[in-house]
This record gives sequence, structure tokens and C-alpha cells, in this order.
Amino acid sequence: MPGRVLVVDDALFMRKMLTDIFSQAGWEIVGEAENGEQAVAIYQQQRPDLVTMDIVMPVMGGIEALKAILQLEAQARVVVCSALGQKHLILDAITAGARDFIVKPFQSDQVLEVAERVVAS
Amino acid sequence: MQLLPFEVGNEIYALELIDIQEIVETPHLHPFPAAPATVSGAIAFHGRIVPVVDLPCLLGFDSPQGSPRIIVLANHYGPFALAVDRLRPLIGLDKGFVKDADAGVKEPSVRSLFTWKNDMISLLDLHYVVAAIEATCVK
Amino acid sequence: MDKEKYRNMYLAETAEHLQAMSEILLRLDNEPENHHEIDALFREAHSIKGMAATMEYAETARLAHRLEDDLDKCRKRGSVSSVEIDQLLAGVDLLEALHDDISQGREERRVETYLQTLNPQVPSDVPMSQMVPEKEEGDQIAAEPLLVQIDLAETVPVAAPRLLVLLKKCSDFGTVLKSWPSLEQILNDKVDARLLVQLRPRLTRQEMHAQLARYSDVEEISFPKPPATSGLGERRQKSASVRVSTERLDQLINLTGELITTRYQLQDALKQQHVQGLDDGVGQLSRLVKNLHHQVLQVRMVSLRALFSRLSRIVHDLARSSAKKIELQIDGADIEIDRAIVEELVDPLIHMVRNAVDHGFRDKDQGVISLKAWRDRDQVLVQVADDGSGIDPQTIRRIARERGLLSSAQVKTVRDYDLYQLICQPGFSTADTVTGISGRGVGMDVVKTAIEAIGGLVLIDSTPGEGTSITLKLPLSLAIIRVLLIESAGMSMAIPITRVIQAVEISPAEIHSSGKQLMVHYQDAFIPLLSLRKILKQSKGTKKDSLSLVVTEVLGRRIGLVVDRLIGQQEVFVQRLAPPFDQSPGCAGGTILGNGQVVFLLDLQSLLERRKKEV
Repeated sequence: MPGRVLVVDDALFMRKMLTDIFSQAGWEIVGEAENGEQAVAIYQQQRPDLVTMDIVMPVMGGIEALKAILQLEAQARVVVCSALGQKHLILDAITAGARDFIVKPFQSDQVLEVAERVVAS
Repeated sequence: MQLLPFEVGNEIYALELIDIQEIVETPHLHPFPAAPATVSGAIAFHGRIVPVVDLPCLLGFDSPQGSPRIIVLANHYGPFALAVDRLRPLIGLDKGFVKDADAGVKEPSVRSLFTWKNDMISLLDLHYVVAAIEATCVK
Repeated sequence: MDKEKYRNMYLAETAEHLQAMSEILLRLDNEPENHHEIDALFREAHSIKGMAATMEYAETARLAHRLEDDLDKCRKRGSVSSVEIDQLLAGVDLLEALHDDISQGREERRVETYLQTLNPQVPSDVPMSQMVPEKEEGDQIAAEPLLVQIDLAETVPVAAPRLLVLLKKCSDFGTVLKSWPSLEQILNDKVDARLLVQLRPRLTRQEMHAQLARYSDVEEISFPKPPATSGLGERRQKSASVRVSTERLDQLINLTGELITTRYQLQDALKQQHVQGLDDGVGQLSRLVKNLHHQVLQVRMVSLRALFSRLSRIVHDLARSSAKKIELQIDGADIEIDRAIVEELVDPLIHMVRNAVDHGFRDKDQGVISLKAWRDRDQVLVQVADDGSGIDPQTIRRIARERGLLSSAQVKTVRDYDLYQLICQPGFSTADTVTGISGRGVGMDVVKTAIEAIGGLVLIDSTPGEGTSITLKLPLSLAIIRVLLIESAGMSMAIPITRVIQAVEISPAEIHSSGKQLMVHYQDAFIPLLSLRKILKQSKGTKKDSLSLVVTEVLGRRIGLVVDRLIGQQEVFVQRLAPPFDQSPGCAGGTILGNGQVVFLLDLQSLLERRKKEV
């Protein structure tokens, strides 16, 4: 059940990978952000079904942006993306309200499984 | 699955690591007034009083000689602890390796039996242990 | 609307309104034309209706609405008749039953029958069906807690975050009661590949299974039966939540802040090897810990008001049904006591009040029952007294001898006080209608057992023709109590101070023997001596120049317990033992002393009962 997604990551490469995975599966990309501040701004305008959020980013980090988005909309579906070694950051993000997480490096079917599950809930 | 084997009398038993909270190597056992024979006392464990079951006695062997090793079980078992004679190194097994016991096992305290490096190891059934203690404690 | 979220709030608030309603009704019984009370009652019913309708508790809302309607009529008329008071009380009872249904997660019982008994010509369900939407199908809440076990595939790279997501998912399924690993353990990455969750589900197992199956990290989903000890586990969950004022929480937070500051002071002083600083810090620390202890105790304290109002309701009903005129005097309802103790007091006090009405006034049709509570240092005393017929000591003497509870010699020497305590012996009073005190003792053994289980004492006093009083001596708190530490054959044990009448040293010359039994003269009577070593089946001790004695009361009699040594008094934090160890006779919990030593609370009663059975 594809939906509308906002992809947030400071690395262009990661954004490219994620947007490719999503658009091939029929999702609509409502925007890309390279830091938390941009992410919050785009979220406010677009209200997407899903946000994939990198945790470590310049200007405003992922957890801060996650909290800001939940302030805008308590039901917002945000999934965090993080590297294997950042287990505690992932735990913090889930505690703060992230619905699920994706561990880098990832396979496209893992990303889509998480995305579809979260949007369905 | 990871298992902790230990010796009781002349037998080797084992528990799943997931059921174990901690091992106490040199416990200070405090006696317990009018305790049933199967209870060897209690230990102070992270600020909690944890009763210790004399596993050899419960399984029909002699009580441990010298100082026992104590296995504190996971919290949903009370918690309580088991005193055993000696610990053996951990072993890791495939889940399929240990099957739930059926007709082959007659001892009610044993969930399943398997052979590991020439030793016969019995996987202890904690539900049996809990029921057996209940039978000796409850008035 | 997520009803579950507001349910506890709803339950706590309606409980207060319901209590207020029965209190007002009982006052109105004496003053049926007090319009302030009628107004107040109307407002209470109105509040309950509003809350219940919002929460979509249709039956509760319907009933509250009906009570509100009836009260509106009374309000206009300016009075309530005694028939109406009884009807309203029955309505409040039914609201309480509905409250219970909701708190247990059951479907609400139907109120139709009650409404019809009230006034059949008034159609009662018309406005309510408009106000409250019909309950949706499939919205039923399963009452029984369920265990959900989730095993992760061994390939999962990061188990802790996955378990955290799954635990949160489980909270969508219903109310999570407990989990292994706990949330804290997950956050600290102390996890394995398994999550076990105990929850009160709103969904069926199939629905839960289907949702969990969407996680490819999950290898196995099962719903195991709880371990054999679950029956005992449920008992512990009984009193799960406490309402705490934010003011009290703020005080706790402030204290925590001070504790943190003190920690830094101590660390600083340690680094600089500054002895004076260490000394100050430790002094500060002990002040703060004492304060913290006090504040935490306060959180657990509740007043006896709710219990007393329930008892006045029982007296009212009993008096009405037996056509007696009984005045109830209440004093000390504001006395606060540990919540856990109040829970244990409910049944015994109901029993005592019933006894007072039924048997205190068997020969009279009017009188006064007084229900009183007061504080005496770290004990709370609760007394039920009547000015009824009292108990004749000669009758008890006779029955005690007939039933073999006392020997002929004992019957002559026993004091009246000790005689009255015999009423609490199991089977003292059977259905013997000739004795004239039949029934008085029925169930008193149950009362005594319950009170002693929480470390209290039951004291009975009576004067024939003037009345009977039963006083419960209770500890303030179950968790932290004052104990007497004693030693027997090298084993230290504790006896709750509420159970100790006196601790004394005596010389062997003071011991008398009566047959095989050793006795000692205490106050104006002889009391038997029992050796703790003997009771615990420990080795015999050596003869000493003086004997340490704990005078206490067991099985309705004063005894002198001979111990090796009296160590002293101390305040301790009592832990219950994990089930089934808490069932072991002789041990009523334990405590860890400052030096790390574990000391158990001696439960003489159960030991002596066991010994009796063995003999």
C-alpha cells in the first residue's frame, strides 16, 4: 500500500538510494531534506504518510526534528535510519516516538517492509 | 540457544541462558527460620531477598558439599535462586538440537535429554522445580 | 477516542463521587429535608452521568441519569422519603457494581431490572439511547491477562530497538502489565532474542498474531500459559495504582535534587580528603534519606474515611433490616494508614460491625455503636464498640471447659482478659443457640488471623450489661515497621514491635513449674514459657544466669518466648518473599540490615499452629 513519503538524510547518496527504492515501489516522494530544520518545514506543508529520518545530521539532528514533527502532528509516522553502531540513538528515537527503524546498510525489501507496516498501522 | 550446564550429584543438568539472571560465585547464605529442607536460605541480591533452593536436595541427591554456586533465575520466576554443586562452561546449540522430551524421558524434572561431548545432559524443567517447592512450602 | 487512556482517571473520580453519594444519603436519612444535601446529591449523580456518557459506559450513564431525574423531583419537593433513600442507596450499590465491572474489564451488567422496580410508568431509556451511542460490535474487552512471547530470528542485527518497537506495538494490543525484559532493561540493551509481555488484551490472539507476523525479524509468536506461580502473582497486582497529588511529587523531586547536590558535595570532599566535608555530607544525606522515607510513606497513606463510610452503610442496612434503632458514632476517619493495610482491614471490620449489631443488641432494640480510630506513636488503633449486652465471662469459662480449650485448673486461674481472647479461637462458638453468646465468636478467628497477618493485634474487652469493645492495634505501614531483633542458636530474627507486649530479662529463680510446663509470673498472672530453640527445632542452649524473654500473644494467649539474646529495636524495610516461599510457616518476610545481613520476620503463630497439627 504505497503512500507519500519524505526522505531526510544529510548524505545525497543515501537520499538517492531511498528515493529510488520508494519510487520503484510506487510511492510518491513529497520532498527530500538534508537536515532536521528542512524536514520540519516540508512536513508542515506536505503532511506525508511517512518520514524516513536520519539521526545524525547537521543544523538540526533527527531526534530533535522527530520531536518537532510530533509536536505538529502527534500521529506522525516517522521511521529513523541509523547505522548499526548507533543502537542507543535508535532506542532514544523510539522512546521519543519514532514508529520503527531501519538499519544502514539496508536492502530495498527491508525498507519497504518497515514502510508498509508503519503506514498500515 | 545458549545453555548453562551444571553438576548436581553425579548428574549434569542445564538451563537456558534466557532463564538466568546472574551467577553468584561466593554467596553469603542467610538461614531462614523453620525452612523446609529444600530451601537452603536466602541471599541479598541487589537489595532484594532472594530465596535459594537446594537443588540437589530437591532432586533427591545429597546437599552440596562445601560452598555451592548459586544461579539466580530470571525475574518472572519470583525471583529465586538455585544452589548447585558446580558450573560448567556455556554451550551454544541449534534450536533443533534440543527437542522437548516425550516418551524417552521419565524424570518429571527433566524437559529433555541430549548428548554433548560424551556427556548426557538433562535440560531442567523449571515449572517442575516451582511446583515442587510449592509442595514443600505451602502449609 | 482512546478510552483505555482515560479509564483509570474515570474509575478514580467516579469512586469518589459514589462514596460522597452514600455519605450524603446516610446523612439525609437523619435530616430528610436538608436541601443543601439534596442539591449536593443531585450534582454528584449529574457528574457521574456526564463522565459515564463521555466514556460510553451506557448502563452506568443510564442509571445515573435516572437517579438524577428522581433527585430532581426530590429537589423540587424539598425532601426525600425513607423509601426513596433506600431506593437511592440501592442505586448507588448498583453503580458501584457497574464501577467494578468496568474496573475488571467486564461488560457492564444491565440496569433494566432495577429501573423497572423503581417506577414502571416512567420510560427510562428514551433519553439515554439518544445520548449514548450503541456499543460497537467487537469492542469487547477481554478480562484475563495474557502472555505473549515473541522470539526474534537469530539474524536480527540490533535486538534492543526491535524489542522496543515490539513492546510499543504490544501496548496497541491492550494494557501492558509487565514485560521481560523490562522497558528499562531494553533501554540499557540488556536483552536477548526473546520478549515476553503480559497484557490485558483488547484484540484477539489471531489479530495480535497477524500484526506481529508483519515483522520479518520475528521468528516465532506464541501465547504461553503463565508459570505455575501465576495465581500468587495476580494477588500482587491487586493494588496497582495510587493517586498522588502533584504537590507531593514536587516535594519528592525537590528531595531528589537535594540528594544529587549532596552526592557532588561528598564526591568533592572525598577527592580533597576533606574529613569535615565528608562528615557534613553524610549528616545531610541521613537527613535527606529520613525525609525521603517519610515522603514516600506519605504517598502510600490513605485515610480511613472510605472504609468508615462503607461501614456506616452496613450499620444502616442491618439496623433497618432488623428493625433496631442504632446510632453510629464515628471518630477519627481522617487517620491515615498504609493503603495495603486498609485493604486488609475491610473484611475484618465488616465482620466486627455485623457482630456488634447482631449480637451486641440481641436483647435490646436500640443502642450506640462507636467506630473510632486514633494514632498512638507509630501504631494506629481502630475500635468497634457497642453499649449492648456484653459477654458473660462465666459463660465463656463454661464453654472453654466443655470444648477442652482450658483445663479445670486453668478455668479457675485464668483472668477475664485472657478469657475474652479465647473468643478468637477457631470453633470457640459454634451454632450453639443455648449459650446466649452464640455467634459472637463466629468468624472472630478469621478476623484475628487476618489482623495478625499484617502484624497487628486484636484486643477484646467486655463488661456484661455495658457492652463490648474490640480494638485492633495496627502498624502504620506494612513496608517499614519497627521490629525487635532477637537471636536464637546464632540465627538473628525480627519480631514486629506491634506483636511484642514486653521484652524482659528474668532470673531462673523466677521460673515456676506446673507439671511439665514452665511458667513465669508476669503482671498479675502466670504465663507459660516457650523456647524458641525448641519451636525452631534448633539444638539445645546452655544454661545461663538470666533468661531473655519476649512477652507476646499467640493463639489468644499471653506467652513468654525464651530467646538467646535480645539485640534491640530497629526500623526496617520489610520485603515479602517471592511466592511460594511466602507460604512457608514461620517466616513472614525479611529485611536486609545496614550491614548486608538478611534477617527474617518470625511468624510464631503459624509455627505453633503447625506444631499443634504435628502433635
